[in-house]
Amino acid sequence: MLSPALELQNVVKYFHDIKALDDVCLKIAPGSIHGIIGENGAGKSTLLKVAYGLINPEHGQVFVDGVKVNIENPQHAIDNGIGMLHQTTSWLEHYSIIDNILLGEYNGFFMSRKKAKARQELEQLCREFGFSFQLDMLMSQLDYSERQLVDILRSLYRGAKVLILDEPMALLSPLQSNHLLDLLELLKMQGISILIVAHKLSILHHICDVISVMAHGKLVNNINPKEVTLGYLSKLMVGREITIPHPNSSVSGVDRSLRLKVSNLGIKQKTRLGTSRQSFSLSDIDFQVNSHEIVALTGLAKAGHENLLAVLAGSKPFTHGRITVNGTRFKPSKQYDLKQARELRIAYVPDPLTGEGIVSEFPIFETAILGHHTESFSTKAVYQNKHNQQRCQELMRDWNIRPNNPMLSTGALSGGNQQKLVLAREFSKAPQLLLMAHPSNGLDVGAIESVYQRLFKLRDSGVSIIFCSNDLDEIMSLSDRVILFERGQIIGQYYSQQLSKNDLSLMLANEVVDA
Amino acid sequence: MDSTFSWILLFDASLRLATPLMFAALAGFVSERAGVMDIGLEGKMLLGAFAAATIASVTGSAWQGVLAAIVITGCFSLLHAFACITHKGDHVVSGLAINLLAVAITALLAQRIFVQGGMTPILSDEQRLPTIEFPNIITHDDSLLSQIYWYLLSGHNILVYLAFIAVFLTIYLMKYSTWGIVVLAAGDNPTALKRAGFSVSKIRYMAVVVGGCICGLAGAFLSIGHGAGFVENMTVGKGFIALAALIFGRWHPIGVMLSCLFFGFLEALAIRLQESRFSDVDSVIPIQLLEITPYVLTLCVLAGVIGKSAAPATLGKPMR
Amino acid sequence: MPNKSLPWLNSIVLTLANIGLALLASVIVLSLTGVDIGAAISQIYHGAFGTQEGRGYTLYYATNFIFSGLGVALAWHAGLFNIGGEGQATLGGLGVAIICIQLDGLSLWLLIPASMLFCALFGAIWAFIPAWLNAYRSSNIVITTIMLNLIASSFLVYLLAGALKAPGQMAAVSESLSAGSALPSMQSIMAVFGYNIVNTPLNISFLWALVCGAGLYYYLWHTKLGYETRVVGHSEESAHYAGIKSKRIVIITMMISGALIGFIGLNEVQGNSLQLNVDFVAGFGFAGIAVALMGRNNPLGIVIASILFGALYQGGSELAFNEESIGNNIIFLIQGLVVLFCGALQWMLRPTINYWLRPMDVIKKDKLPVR
Repeated sequence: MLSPALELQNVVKYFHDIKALDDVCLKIAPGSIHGIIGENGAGKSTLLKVAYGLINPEHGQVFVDGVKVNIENPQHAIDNGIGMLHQTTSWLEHYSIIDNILLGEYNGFFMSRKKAKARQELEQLCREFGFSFQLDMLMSQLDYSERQLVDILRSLYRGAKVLILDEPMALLSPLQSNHLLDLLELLKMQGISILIVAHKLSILHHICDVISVMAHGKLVNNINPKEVTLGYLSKLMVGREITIPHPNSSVSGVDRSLRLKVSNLGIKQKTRLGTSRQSFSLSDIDFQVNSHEIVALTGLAKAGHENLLAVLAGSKPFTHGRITVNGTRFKPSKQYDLKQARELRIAYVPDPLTGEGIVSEFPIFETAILGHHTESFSTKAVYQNKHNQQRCQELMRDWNIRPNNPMLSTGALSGGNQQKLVLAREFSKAPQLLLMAHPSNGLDVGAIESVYQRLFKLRDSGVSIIFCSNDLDEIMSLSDRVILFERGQIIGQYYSQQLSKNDLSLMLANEVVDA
Repeated sequence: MDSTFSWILLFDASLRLATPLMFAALAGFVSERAGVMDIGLEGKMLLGAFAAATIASVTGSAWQGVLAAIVITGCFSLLHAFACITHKGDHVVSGLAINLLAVAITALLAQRIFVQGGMTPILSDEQRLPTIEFPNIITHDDSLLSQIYWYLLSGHNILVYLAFIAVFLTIYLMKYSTWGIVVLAAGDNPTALKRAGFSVSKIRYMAVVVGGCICGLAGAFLSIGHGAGFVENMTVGKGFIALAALIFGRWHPIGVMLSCLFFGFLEALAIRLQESRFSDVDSVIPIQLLEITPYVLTLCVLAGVIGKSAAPATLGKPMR
Repeated sequence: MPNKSLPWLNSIVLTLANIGLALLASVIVLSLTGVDIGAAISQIYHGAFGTQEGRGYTLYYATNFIFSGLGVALAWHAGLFNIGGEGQATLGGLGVAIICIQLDGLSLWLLIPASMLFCALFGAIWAFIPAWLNAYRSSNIVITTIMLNLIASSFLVYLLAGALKAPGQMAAVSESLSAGSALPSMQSIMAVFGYNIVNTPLNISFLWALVCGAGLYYYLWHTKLGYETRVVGHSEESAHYAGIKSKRIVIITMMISGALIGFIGLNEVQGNSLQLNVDFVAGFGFAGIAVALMGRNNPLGIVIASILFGALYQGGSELAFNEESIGNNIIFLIQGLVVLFCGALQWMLRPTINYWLRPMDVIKKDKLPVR
């Protein structure tokens, strides 16, 4: 049997205390297309970066064609015939395609010498694979899909035998992604092995020879997609059904009042790099949220749900439409900002991973007044540190934040405790509408459970909660209603109880649900 | 003296005064285009001037002096790179430290070695860099062409010509050599570079050290080219004017060269006015107005009043 | 992994280690340049602390260092690097001189508040320019402050050669302030309490500097504006989240910073020389950076660092008398090395120190190394 084109053995990678990759072994057969699926945060991207030398693992070996190689940086990867197509492309905008491609070849002080020969080779490759761009075009003239093709062209030119693709279809239109798939098939026929990570299951199901499933930093399954159905694949990816007991019974028999109404909301983007089209990062957003309910906003990467949450919080401006909060209408203007939102008793809990809601260098008691510091100072010109410390201590006791010492620096708390601190701060202001971005990012199971309990209690007391999340477990266990986004638009609204996690997963991947 | 001739002499002086600015600004150009901010130009220039004068005076060879200047400024930029790149220190703080150290070390050493109140002995012509006389293809006469040829173009120090060569060489390298493109990319788009398989740190190190070496030439010109010996703190803000020229020239070699020439001209004009003061000719423009013009213009560029400032995208930011 | 249970211990040890490294490097460089270290240290010590006069001068110089260190530190807390101290101090001195000449003969009780006000105002205005450019035109504050330093010094020369030039003087100095407008010297203040000390330039601005230090501490850690300043300095995102208007904070902070540094002019012009000359700032504005770095941007640390620098300055100038121009340059050298080791290379020793000071449980468990 042929030795694998690329093999990773026992790869272990830590990010701080978290095991991002846990003893991962992966073999890619020569001339095959190997897919990796898994939920967000399963470690797929990290694995790819290890293979390309962008991340150095604590432990593990890499073999190319059965020979052990040392890959510490991208140059090593390239030398060993590994090429990568990144999720976001990064090129020198003001240089031509050919210069960008040759840039990587650091042999020779002057480029011009090799250029003529290289041009021939590149043109040959372009013909072979049907790339339509001219080599002398500037990078800035290309759109996203063309840039991807340049990425592939560069890898081919530099003799890649293995091509790694990280979410290549996420930002492509259906037509463009079909083109890409045809290209991948072509590459495969040329004997190039392909390792691909993607969310769109049906596509992987269609093109892959082998699919591996990742969960929690581990590679759990290798399957032949020809032998299984799409539904089975999605079940594998979703893994276990929700572990947290489902205490979410939506409230009935109460008077629901309209809390928030969003009509026709949109954000016009500045035109990029000479494209004359107007583009909207959000458009035609229409929905309502009542009291006593929890609404989830979700979608794939850059679908717009995160943006919308920031807009509702007043953190980002919007350009079109109306937002009505408790009967107060807001037009697009500078008027609606975080401060205004807070006055309307909208609490905003940003994504814990961005660290927006805390100041990690501050002592905990100072973080505990962030955003509400005006009140803490307003009684006198002077604010009483003592008073704030005491209040903070109470909050910390109430929320079981350890170590229970308000003088410690906020950064010394674990991620879960930082998130609890932010929640404690925002809850203590008795909000009417709570906005949360990725509420359980970086929290452990215990912390998640206690956060959820508090959210349910808050909901039952009449507060409306809107959160955005990419975590299906979270959406299924927390929300009463789900709103799905794609390309900045709402593509569907569903009651969570009428959905299974599997349905949601398929809908997110833009598949047709059988039922 | 007729007025054309006096203008020619003024331009002639401008060229001389612009030369150290051009070297220093080019040095800053190379380092800053690679993403490492360099406010230590002033200090490195001073170190270069001191090293050149000292070695030239001790060995009697001007070229060894130039070499010494290049080596010492290279070493100090290595320190800058070590702090900024390896230890992700603040670029400004590190540059400031170099400026302070340069003033102190040069003065202490000069005092120590020569015991002449922080000066080197006055250098003889053999210990200084040669001037270049152009071939005798135009006769000496009163025609404009001849005056320009003999007084403006010919007879400058060799480093003056080298400065211009350096500018055009830089343009050429930035455009056509891999090295040049890579340096530009290190400041503008390190991610792209990293993906193409480069070590951004290595490239920045190289750029900072090369920049430092060029800065040594600026110093050497001051002490053994234009001047004849080292005097304590002899750069008097030239490094900062070079920084201003870099910004005013929008981080492009041609722009940088033109702004250096312009700032050199302002300086020459100020000196001329000062001389005329002594001969009791009252001037309308205060000298200080000429002195601050480079700085005010730079402020205007930074404020976006004159075009947009075009700093490299990742300038001064440590790499993740 | 930082020592989570005792983070402050690590940071203090790191600071001390950096200062130690800077001083060690100074000693090495100085002995390489042939200075007799032992003799120099004892001379500096004696010059700075040995006599009552020396102590007076030490505190007099320390006053300047405190003002500029506080100014730099305040800006630093808002994430701004104010290296425009030279210019702001120049303008501060100008303000003092102008008001003292204009209001000559006024009662000292009225003159002092007026001159303080003008001093602060002039410094603040000079700092407003880069602050505004930074906030509204996103200009790099480092470059703008450097440019404004150079502009300020030319401006001063221009005024001293023209409008403010003392009649009949060859040198570029302003006319002298009348002796009646001088700030009360420490000698006269102590005399009120019955102590008799030698007359030195040390004056009431030293006490004002201490008050400013205490005030700055109070401002930063006990007021709303101070709180907002620190949020802006630590994280722009958090400031946005908290609804803080960063631009406003940038401008307010820089103006206060400029005012603080401007007080150098008060100490120099109204406290000592009673006239404006070309180079009265003499590097004190720049020195604030070294002082602030050494004092970890904390007012108390700054006062301590300032006294150390004041001692070096005074002791160094004693050296200068004996060994020509060595003294001043020793100061620059030590300043440079402090800036290098406590500033640019401040994180160099962190891994080492974190390793040596790791908590006991980590040592026992020998946890996996974390990158």
